[in-house]
Amino acid sequence: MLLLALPGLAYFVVFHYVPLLGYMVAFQDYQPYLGYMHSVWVGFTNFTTAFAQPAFWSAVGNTLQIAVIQLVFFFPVPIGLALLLNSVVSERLRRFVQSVVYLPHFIGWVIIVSIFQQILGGAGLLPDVLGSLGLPRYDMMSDPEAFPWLLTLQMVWKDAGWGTIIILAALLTIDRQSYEAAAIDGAGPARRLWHVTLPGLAPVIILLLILNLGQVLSVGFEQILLQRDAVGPGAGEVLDTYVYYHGIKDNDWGVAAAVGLIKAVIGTALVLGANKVAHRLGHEGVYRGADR
Amino acid sequence: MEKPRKATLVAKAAVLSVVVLAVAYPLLGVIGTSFASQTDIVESTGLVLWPDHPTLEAYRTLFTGGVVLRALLVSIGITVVGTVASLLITIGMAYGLSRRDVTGSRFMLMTALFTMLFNPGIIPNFLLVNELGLYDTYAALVLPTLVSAFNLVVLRSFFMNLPGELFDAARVDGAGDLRILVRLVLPLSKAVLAVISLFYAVTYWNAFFNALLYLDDSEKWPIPLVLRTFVLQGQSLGGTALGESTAPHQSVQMAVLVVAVVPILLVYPFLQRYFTKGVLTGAVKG
Amino acid sequence: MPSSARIDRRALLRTGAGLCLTLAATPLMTACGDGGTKARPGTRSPKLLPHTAVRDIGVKPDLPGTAEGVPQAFFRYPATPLPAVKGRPLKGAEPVSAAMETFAPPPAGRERNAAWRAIEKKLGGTVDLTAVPADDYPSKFSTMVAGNNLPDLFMYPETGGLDNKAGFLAATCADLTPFLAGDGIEAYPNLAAIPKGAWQKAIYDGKLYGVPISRAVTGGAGFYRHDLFARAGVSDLDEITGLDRFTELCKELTRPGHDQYAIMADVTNLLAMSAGAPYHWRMDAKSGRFTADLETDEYRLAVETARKLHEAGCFYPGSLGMSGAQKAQYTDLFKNGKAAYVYDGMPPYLTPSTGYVAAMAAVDKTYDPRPMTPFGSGAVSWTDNLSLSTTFVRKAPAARVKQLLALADFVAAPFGSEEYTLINYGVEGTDFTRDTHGNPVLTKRGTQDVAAPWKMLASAVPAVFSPTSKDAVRYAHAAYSKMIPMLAPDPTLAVFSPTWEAKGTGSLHTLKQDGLKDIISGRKPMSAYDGLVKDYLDKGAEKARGEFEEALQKGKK
Repeated sequence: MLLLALPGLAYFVVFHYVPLLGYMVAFQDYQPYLGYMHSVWVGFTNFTTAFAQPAFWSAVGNTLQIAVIQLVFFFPVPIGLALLLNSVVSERLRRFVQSVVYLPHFIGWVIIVSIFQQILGGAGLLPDVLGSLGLPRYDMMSDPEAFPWLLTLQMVWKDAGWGTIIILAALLTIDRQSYEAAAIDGAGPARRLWHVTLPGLAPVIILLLILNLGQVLSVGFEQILLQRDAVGPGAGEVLDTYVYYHGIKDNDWGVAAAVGLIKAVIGTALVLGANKVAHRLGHEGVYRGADR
Repeated sequence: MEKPRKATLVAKAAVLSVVVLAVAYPLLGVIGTSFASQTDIVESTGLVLWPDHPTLEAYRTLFTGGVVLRALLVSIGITVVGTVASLLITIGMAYGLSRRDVTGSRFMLMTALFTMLFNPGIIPNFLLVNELGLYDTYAALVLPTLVSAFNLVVLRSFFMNLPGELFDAARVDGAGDLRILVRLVLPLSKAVLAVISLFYAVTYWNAFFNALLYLDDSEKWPIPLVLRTFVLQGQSLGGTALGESTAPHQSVQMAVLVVAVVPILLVYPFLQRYFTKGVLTGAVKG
Repeated sequence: MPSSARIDRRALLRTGAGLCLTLAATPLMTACGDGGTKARPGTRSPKLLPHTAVRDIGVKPDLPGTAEGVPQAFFRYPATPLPAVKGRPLKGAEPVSAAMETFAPPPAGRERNAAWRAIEKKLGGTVDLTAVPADDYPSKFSTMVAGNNLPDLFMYPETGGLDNKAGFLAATCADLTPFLAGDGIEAYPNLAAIPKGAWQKAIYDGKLYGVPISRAVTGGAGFYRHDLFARAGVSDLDEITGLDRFTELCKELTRPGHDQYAIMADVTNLLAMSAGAPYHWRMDAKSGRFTADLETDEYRLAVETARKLHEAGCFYPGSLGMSGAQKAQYTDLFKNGKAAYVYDGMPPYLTPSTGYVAAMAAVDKTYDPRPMTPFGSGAVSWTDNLSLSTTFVRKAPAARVKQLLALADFVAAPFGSEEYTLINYGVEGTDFTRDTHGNPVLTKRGTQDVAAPWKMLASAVPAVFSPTSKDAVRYAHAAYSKMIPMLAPDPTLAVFSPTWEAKGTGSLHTLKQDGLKDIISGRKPMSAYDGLVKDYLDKGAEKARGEFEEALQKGKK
């Protein structure tokens, strides 16, 4: 069995583990023209420099806030949409809707942001309508308070349809006999959803949730970079943009690598932790050892 | 089966209509803008739903001279070869790791999983590709992204959710692992395989960054990288800006999007069949 | 060991960093500290500068240029291009490799590219170009450096390079001082047309390293709608006597009911120039004391004024918060008549069909966009567009360096020369034809052929030229002629601070822009300005100041 896995394993080792050596940059004053061997070692300076900045912690705070809101309000949307689609009787209609809603996934953020600007921005549709009703012209896109919600709304628009794909595939694996059995027992649609569909989807949903937790500190870099200026760094700076403006822009590779390393370690801890919780609750999670 | 209630039906129809409209309206705007002239764009100050002065200038800009066509061929090649290679390796690994009783499988899965979390940046990756002698070869567009840990974990999870009795029965019949995989597991996993093929294909189709770093010769560039240059065009702050296209920037940008997505649109229905199949119709109405 | 570890050790020795070399060879060393790889402040001695001169190959401009950087202007393309290069610069040379950013799609390959072949024929050698989309060039550049894959000639990225540029240049690039300083430039007459300021930026650690891709010194002050200004009672910019008058004017120009606002996106730079604020730094000639722009009363006044204008609703809603990536969006709003003023660089003014003049004429014939200039008695302009970037030469034997410089001289040939025509329009008949006025018009094939970004390797100040609008050429030339004599002195051209070099356009710039937007938009009170200045100084500007002043003192000795 394991033989089949070897080519894949070899790939991961060569293309992912060898480059990990690059993290040594986090402990250097790295100069690409000097290379890893000749750049000056600076110990934990890159980390302490970042930790000493209030702006860094503000970025951490914003990142967590956005991540939590997205987890709660974006993550379930594709599941709900997939269930809704699945309940549509007409196969043609189902396919049609499904093949329209996945498309925004391919539209770049620059275009999406400009579309939103035309609707919600200062001179957009919404303020115009509010204005004509005699209400104050509310500009959501430059309201720092609304920023995480704006991001989530945009994500829903862009990726909810795309996210249904994997859920739909998972729905197909649910044994249809369970439905028939439930129907014979007199279970209505709501109860069938609760007792058959959701438990059937649980392994995939939990898996996706755990994998998402690993990325929790990387909230949409390009999307935020485009809109950060509208709300200012107080609300719009996240870890990735912080690294961009304080590391990459100064060509300071050390800081960028240090923050990347911190993100990866936290992500790992979250994945491992969430996986443990899933086990406690009797689910497979991402992996489980032979110790069952 | 009971009839679904009317209220439920209406609510569903309403939600779906809103969803479709919210998505379709801007999409039509994208298509409209790709045919718009500078006048249309400036007048609408945004997406042009219906250009009053339609023009093919944006598409003409893209397709003049054959650079885009050539890049399309390169991308089709990369996507087909890459997707097939990725699928084979991923299936092998996911299946190999899908049995709990095999020692080492957990360790190997963790090995793959961690790669999702750690990304040391472009320079180490570049140095590796350079040392392996892949610089300026098409292999540099496939090998570094051969297996996605996400797809691997998802596929393995689907394999593990297949009813265990099937395997036991097959094994009693004396079938080997490979035979079980080909005869039993794969046919039962068509939906997820379609999904993962789609994910891989889209990744290969959209990837431009590796091509940028690893290919010096622009004649080898795949379509997303070439299209990217058209989007940037005309943003130069220097020079006398002569010899630039006459098509407006926004319409080129939208035409680029259309050109990039059309091939996906063509392939999608074939894969979609597998994951929106009506297996459940009749069972879960309402 | 990755190949990046390979390094030219002799180069290090030569720059004095070699003291640490024996230690540096052991990877885990921590000693040797900053002295080894960190750049030190220094001066940029005018002695290293080439003797510059306006290039005259016999093509008569309609409006003249100056050695200070006012570009020549043309209403028509010269009927007979004249040669600007003698002989074959690459005759007998090994093939040359070059890398640069580009804003154009990939060119047709050499074998299908008539212009490319004609250029190489004239050069007498072959050149392989690696052209990378401008947005991605910094990434490509850093991998080329790390992988030790740099070509013979390469453009340094506009933003995002290396945080120790001086150290990098010393280790990898050829010192061009012996070839170009003083009279040396006479061998390259087209390069001699590049103004001094642009050359000055290519001096590091007492050596002249690069060839500038020069621009018109100043990026201008944005564009205004002359028709709207005139309707509001200002038909000549000189009538705007100061910031207060401008504020009044903006209020008059703001008519939300008509979907028209005074300002699109930003106005701070215009206000700061008009108030007389310096470009980044000001130096007191007597004491040698440096002052950051944010510290000056003039800059504070500009920010205060911008804030008032925003409060009064003079900005197009939401446009202040638009990022650079959304520039196409807000400049379109301006082109559509939504605002009376927009801040943008000069070059897109005359761009055929999509530039301000052409695009706005297509929308409404009454729209009259003209280049804005700073106003008021104390106004200055800024040296914010001396060059796009600089091209460096990889270390090579003297004979080879000469060939590479001759190639740079070739691509920097002036407007109307044979070389310029080949690079910008290709081969007559195949790549372009002439219209009834004799102006070149690219053929379909020409569009592909001239996409090869030769002009991103070296450039003199680009000429102002529009075959369609004589008036617009006059306005652009007049704006340059007005702004270049009023340039605020830029003390940082003569001295060098590693801290400023690393952070000035990076994190310090971000910090400043973020703080200013917070204040102007009203998210923070005007009183936050002092905090911003303090933060700016603490995060690096104070250190840069110290380095500038130290360098100045050193230079005086």
